[in-house]
Amino acid sequence: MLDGRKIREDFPIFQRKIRGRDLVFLDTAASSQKPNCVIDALSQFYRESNANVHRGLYVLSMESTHKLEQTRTHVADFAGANPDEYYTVFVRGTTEAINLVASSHALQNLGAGDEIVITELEHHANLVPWQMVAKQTGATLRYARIDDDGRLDLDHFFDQVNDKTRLVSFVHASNVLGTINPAKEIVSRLNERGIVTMIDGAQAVPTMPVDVSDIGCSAYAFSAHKMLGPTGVGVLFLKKELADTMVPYQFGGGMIFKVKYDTTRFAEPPERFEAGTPAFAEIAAFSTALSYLEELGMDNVLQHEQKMASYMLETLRQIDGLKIYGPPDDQDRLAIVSFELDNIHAHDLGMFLDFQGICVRVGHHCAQPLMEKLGTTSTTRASAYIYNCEEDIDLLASALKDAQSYFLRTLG
Amino acid sequence: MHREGQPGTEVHLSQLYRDAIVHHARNPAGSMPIGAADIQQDGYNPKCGDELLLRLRLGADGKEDDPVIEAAQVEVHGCTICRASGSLLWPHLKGSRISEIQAKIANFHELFKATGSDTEALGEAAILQSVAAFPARIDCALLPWSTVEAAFRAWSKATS
Repeated sequence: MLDGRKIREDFPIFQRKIRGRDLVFLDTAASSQKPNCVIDALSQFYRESNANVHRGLYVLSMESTHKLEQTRTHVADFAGANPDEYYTVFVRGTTEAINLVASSHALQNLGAGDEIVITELEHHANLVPWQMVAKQTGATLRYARIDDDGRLDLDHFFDQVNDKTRLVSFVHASNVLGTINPAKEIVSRLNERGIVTMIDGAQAVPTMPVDVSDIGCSAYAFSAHKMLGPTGVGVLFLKKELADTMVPYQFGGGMIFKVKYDTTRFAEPPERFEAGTPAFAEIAAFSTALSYLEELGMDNVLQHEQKMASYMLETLRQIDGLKIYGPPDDQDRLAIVSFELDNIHAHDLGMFLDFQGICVRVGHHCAQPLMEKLGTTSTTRASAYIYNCEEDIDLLASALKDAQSYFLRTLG
Repeated sequence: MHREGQPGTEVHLSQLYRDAIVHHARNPAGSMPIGAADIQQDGYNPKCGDELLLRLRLGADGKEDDPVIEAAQVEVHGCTICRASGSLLWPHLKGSRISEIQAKIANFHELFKATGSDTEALGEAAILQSVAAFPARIDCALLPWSTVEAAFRAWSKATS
């Protein structure tokens, strides 16, 4: 069992006071805080090993290249992407990873009459690229719907899939409602039909054990910054047989094999998809973040996540006038809870909480169509992680009650 | 509830939720439908989801390139600051010419800059200057005014 209060000691940001108060950070679904070891690894890299990768024959460059390749192996191992089946491509983040698959695979292969299926739960990053693909290729975009509890309606999902379906993309765990989708079950049924599958794992990989090879999808993406790692690093696992058919995403240095003035032969994957200098210092430090999580154990991280989810639901439910969106129970759900409080606009509420040192996300959470489906334009979202404990949720609950009386008095 | 921040940066929520601002948010002026409109514009803040409907009816007094606004409807679905701002904008629309309103919008933008603004011309709307101490909320105050700006740009493009 993880102890959030103890883990917090590894994260220097929690020494920070916000308007004289202790920091209550409940916005990890947007980006996580960083432990000392990751901050130190980044700093140490710049102090001791800094040089561009895959370029020089000198010691520094070789060290730098070694660290990048070591992280490539490490992250594949962390998320269970068997290197015999998957390439590990470094990108800037989940958004770029999905755009890469959209550009380098879907735009090249889909046409009028073809269909793409995604879900109503998607973040804009896993929605807008497919809208663009549909628009440019003439393909049809279909949405699998969610039920009133914010869970995927699997019957409806598979009703959307037919002989014309060429690609299915879905979120492993929702950034708005916390819903965990049954990725393996979905993918295995689609694999039988030879459909390309893409999974947005931005919330799942940081919070639960993920075994990409076991899921068996064609592509799986996530970001380092939501799992203790530095910003600017994302990972895309690509099934080899798919990657080998894909055209490059961007062109330039690092992705070529041989260039002449009139022609270019491209490098093999994964380098084929990694044009330009990668964020090699951040990638090196990401390996330290992975080690930190491995030491905690991802089973324990998930257990803590579910404990926090259940405490959040139980505590918030006791507040009169608070409406929770998403699964009402802690089964297959992360500690990401979106809610509305009375008629207090989320923007007003978010600012009130900020004055109590409590960081939450307010707004549409980059999921405007989902907000519309839920019948709102903005919600307040609290998300917990390894460094949170019950006390944070108690402080949130007490601040929410204060907000009710403040706004009742002020706004009526 | 209020705690001290860093020296010199202390702000209180009560500076944001001033009585007059809250009063306008609770009883917004100008949201009543006006019937037929010559100009209609949706306003939207993608950062927070605040929405706004602006409808304007133009008067026919011969000055076609700079008409007077005969009737205005400003309907805000958003936070306290955005609702109050819409309500405080409304009196500046009705009975004013487009060029006059444009000058006031420019003034309004200045409210949030260090350079200062002609607060007298803005009348009661100048109370929104207190939002300047809350940078995250400036866009909420600006939305109604920028929507009018966008509406005039679109109108001018369509009629030129």
